[in-house]
Amino acid sequence: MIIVPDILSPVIRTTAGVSYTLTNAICDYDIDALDAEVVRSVLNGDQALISRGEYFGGEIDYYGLSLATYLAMKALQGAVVRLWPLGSGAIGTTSPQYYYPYVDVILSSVRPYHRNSKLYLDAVIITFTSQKYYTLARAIDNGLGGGA
Amino acid sequence: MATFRLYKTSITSGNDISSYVYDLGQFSYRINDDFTFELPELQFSTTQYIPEGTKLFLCDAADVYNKQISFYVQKYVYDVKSQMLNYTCPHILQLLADIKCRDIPAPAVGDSFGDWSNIVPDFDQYNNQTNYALQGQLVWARSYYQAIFLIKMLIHRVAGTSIASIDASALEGKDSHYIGRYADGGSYYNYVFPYDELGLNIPCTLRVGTVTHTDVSATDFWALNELPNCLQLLRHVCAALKVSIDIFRSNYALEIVGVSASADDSDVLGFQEVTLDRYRKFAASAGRLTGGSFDWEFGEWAVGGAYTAYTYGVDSPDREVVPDRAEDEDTAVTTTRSLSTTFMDFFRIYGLSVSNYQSAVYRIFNDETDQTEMDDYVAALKAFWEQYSVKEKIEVEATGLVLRVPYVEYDLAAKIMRYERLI
Repeated sequence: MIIVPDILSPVIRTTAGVSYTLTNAICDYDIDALDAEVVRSVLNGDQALISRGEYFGGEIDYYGLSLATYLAMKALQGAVVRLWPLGSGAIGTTSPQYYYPYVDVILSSVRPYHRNSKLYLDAVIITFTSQKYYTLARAIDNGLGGGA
Repeated sequence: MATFRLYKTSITSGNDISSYVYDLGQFSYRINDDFTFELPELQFSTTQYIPEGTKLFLCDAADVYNKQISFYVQKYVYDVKSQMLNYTCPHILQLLADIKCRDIPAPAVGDSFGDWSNIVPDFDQYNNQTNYALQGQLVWARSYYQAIFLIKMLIHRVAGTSIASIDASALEGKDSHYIGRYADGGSYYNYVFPYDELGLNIPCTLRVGTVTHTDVSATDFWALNELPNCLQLLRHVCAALKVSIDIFRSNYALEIVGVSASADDSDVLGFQEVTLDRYRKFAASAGRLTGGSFDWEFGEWAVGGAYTAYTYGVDSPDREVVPDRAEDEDTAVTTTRSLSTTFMDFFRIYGLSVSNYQSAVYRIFNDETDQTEMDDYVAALKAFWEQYSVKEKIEVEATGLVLRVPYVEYDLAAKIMRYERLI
């Protein structure tokens, strides 16, 4: 990934300031999903793109969670949380200092399921979409202040 | 396939916004049965911001400078969802609706018309002179706009087109449908008025559509608001002359209302026939304003005799072509199968016999043999419409901006032109 040196486990931080690092999660992100429309002139057929912005969406399949973590996640369904999709922290050797990207997302669903596996018996699928237009980029701060 | 372009402000490549027109409404131009007209209105959507009042030129790409139709931005609405501006743009002549007839200038002969004319009209186009001593011996109080010049002046006022470039060649020197009859040596002679010898009396024109000669001085907001506007006047002048304006040409060619040629059969996409009511009648009865005091004069100086002032300028039947009808309309002709056109109060067309030395007096009759006074406009229009029994509605591919009368509609988004013709 050219934006960050290493892809780490995603991190969710609630408005109360509680962070969850979703270790072992399998992430399927829909990065920079364009909200746009191609329009065509009725006079000469010239086309143009009317672009409104980009969203960050996707789902996270999180294995091996405890009941307490599951309940905490479930309680966040419908809430806005801050998500570090590629992990959090500072990106080394950058000047000025950049940080792992973060985005405020709406957790649109938190659905548990049981997988018949000896390793990960219980899991939860978290789907989300960004609260606002957001284009993935390095952050200029660590994201711990303000926001969701 | 014809292509079309839309320009803002002026026709230069930098002002070509054709690439950004994402929805375009249909627009139409209709010459009504009474020869008045209805102007088109363009509606379109674009991402471009165009300030209100900006002129727009919709052009035939094959000849953008000559084949064009002008609109202006009246209002726009921004649609947040589509991120587009939706514009409503009436035809440029619609601006005349915002100008009251009383604001038409009537300067002394030779003086400037300001924004209304970029030429100093000749004596046969305009006169506003009350000094009878300067006007020869047998003099009617001259105070007139030549009808063609008035049309040009109204177009120039809002479209900015030079008066010299407005094409009236189809009218100039050509016979109108108005016939005068005069006596000479005990015999009567007919005289067909050419179009350029038809005029409108200035005081009447400024007061057109009002009830009394003092209404024109209204200061009350509502009374002022009720005063007729120049678009109404233009419609009535065109109707009285049986003239249409080719708004699809930059020279606004004035043409006698005729009949459109048929399209080639191979072009016809849709076709419909409608039977016309053969009986079409235009009529109303004459009315005359009486009494009151005058603050302007229109009259006659007899040779070596006294001055006779006419009531509001309407009491000269010898020169009056289109009389006042509005106040006493004949309801007998206003049936479902007939049409009635009613000219505004004070609306008059006069036969001008222009000379800087002497002017003649004409009586005006229905035709060369019938000596009944032409006291209304009925006969000419009725005779015209009675020739036709069927109206064809035709739909063809839009191959360019072409005026078809009595009705033409352009759907440029679909590249289709619909029009009607009389047969």
